[in-house]
Amino acid sequence: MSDDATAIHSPVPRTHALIRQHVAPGALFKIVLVNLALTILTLGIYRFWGKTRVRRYLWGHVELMGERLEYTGTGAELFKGALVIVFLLLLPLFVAVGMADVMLIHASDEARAAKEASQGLVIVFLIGVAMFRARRYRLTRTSWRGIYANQTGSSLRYGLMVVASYVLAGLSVGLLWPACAVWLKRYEMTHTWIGGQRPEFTPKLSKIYAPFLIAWVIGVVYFSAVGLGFSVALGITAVDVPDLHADTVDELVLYILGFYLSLLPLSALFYWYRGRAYHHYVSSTRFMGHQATSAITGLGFAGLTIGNWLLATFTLGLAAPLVYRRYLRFVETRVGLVGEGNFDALLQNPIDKPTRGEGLADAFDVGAI
Amino acid sequence: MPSMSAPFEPATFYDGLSARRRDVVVRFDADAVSILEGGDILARWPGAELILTGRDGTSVTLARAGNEARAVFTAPGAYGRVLAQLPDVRGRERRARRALWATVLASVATVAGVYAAMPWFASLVVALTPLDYERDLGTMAAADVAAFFAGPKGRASCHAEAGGAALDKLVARLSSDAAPRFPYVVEVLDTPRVNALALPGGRIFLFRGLVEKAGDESELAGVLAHEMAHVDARHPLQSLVRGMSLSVLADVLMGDAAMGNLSTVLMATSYSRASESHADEGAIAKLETAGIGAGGMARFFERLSDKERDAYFGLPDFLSTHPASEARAERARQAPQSGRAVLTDGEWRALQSICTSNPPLSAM
Repeated sequence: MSDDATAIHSPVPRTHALIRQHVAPGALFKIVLVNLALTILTLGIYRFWGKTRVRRYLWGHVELMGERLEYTGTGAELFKGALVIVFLLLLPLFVAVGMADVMLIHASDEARAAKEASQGLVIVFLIGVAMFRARRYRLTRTSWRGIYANQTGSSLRYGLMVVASYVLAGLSVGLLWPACAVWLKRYEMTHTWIGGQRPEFTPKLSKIYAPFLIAWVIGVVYFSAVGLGFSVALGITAVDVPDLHADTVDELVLYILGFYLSLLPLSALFYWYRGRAYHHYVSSTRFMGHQATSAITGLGFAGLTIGNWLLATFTLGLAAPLVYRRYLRFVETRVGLVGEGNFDALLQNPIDKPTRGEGLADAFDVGAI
Repeated sequence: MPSMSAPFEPATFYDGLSARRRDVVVRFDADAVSILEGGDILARWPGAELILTGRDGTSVTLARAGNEARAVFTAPGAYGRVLAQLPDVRGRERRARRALWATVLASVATVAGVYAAMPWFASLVVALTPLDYERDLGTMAAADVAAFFAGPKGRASCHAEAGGAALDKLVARLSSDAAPRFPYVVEVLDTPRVNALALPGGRIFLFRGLVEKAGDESELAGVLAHEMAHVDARHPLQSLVRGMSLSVLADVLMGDAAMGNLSTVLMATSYSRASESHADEGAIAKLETAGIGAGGMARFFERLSDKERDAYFGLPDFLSTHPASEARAERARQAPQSGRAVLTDGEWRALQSICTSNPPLSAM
């Protein structure tokens, strides 16, 4: 498959690129375009099969340690997953929320606030469950050298952990977020299987808190300055907002635009921290005697993410092939594996695979890729 | 040594038990493929169970359905040669594609059916909804609407005393025809738009812009009677049910979170043209019974119709979802036109300035 296939089998430990990507944006673009057309023509129903085609292509054009990955999922599995979630969970939930709204008409403000809050927590919980289950589905549909990946652990427990993380992070003005993030990431990683082997994952909180505190302090200062600036400006000009005369509307649009632009440095800061965190996560991962190495930098990751966001936004998603390739290239050039490169001892682990997938993640739009 | 007379091709084999890479020869027999390593047969896959799990123009991966083992062909030209050996596999793939399209088309047909059945479904839900339940819903929706239009002063509806009394008088005259399902609760919203809105449970909002721009009381009475006719027919609840069902359907199809807000759904929802015509008829009957006459209603629609001709942009919201105003004016013109006044000149002026002479908030 790859030119250095023989080099990968060297008995001397050396650094290999973890992946090599062979994505041809033109070919992928054709798939994306056809998917878009068919999805529109079928009122959205084709998207499960379309998503599957894109994944088949992406997995099939990523070479992991000398052998290509294979995506074994099907559109029908995603379709079934979505149907089950919609009819058994979302519709009953929707009706329940509507009935609660009506029953609480004469209730106190506190009771209604409690209902809103618990509704929010349920949604966060379901999003957590959705992410974990979607991860399990994608792992079990990923095959490499005839070995498939898997994920054990409980999605309900993971959902509760996500709720707890949000609550703790909120109560601590964000300061507990890195601890919670590591807690979640550790749960994911220690329940991940490639065949019969699990990665070892040993991150240190101290390594993540240093960049986080830098980002947090700068972020708080920046946010206060921008917030103050906006309220002063709005206080002077928008005396009578509710009547929304044409000139005020234009000004409001300007302010909203300005507000979003002012968030750009903030998100750069956030992704800078994310990059630093990923660098540490990767460096803290071992698999079958191989150590993962990372050349991910905060700035590099911020550039990648914001660049991809701009690409995706300003082309209405049509640049997806470029976005995928940029991500894969980033991993290709920045993540390595040190070791002799021999995985012959990796055995299949016949844990059950789920028979359908991602309905919940589809409903909440949290499925990656 | 097995016979090599059948076509064969070198491949890399993974047995599905371990990640060990093996160099093998794959032999294409008439009804199966055999995986050969040295002199041993590692596996024999029946032709009917073969699937292609990966192909990218240069390499191709062969597997047995339901099995994790893989044979990967990467030799130059192997792609075309392997595919040529497996006509059945490609036939099965074509059949699977046809099955996929059957599924997709059946689903689209189901969705279209659900969409078409929505008005009946909405009528059924409305018929089954108790009146006091609808009234509660209206109270909640009215609070949402008022909150939406409330400015920084925290006031959405206008409560000038004299104007309020005049409005009540007009409503009372228009509701004299029959015992209404709900007591009408009519309020004026302090916003410059020219619009009016009926909510479930008898709640009606007139927008300040409408009250100010109405030429006389009979024009305003026309709009008011129209909204009251909507209330009588329970159109707002019907439209709410239809709107929510459609939004759930759209969310389900497009795969977004199906957690809408009642009021946004309500405000984004329009009545059907049939409901509008129905409400127009009801309004004309009300105006006639009340002795007001439909002349004002006709004049109001004529003015709207002029605006429709003049401007494609910036039309009042009131007409965007409704039948052509010219046709509606025509129908109103066919009803008895003139009637007697309900309000005195002073009362009409008070009603038109119901918002400008709003009492201070503390007095409310």
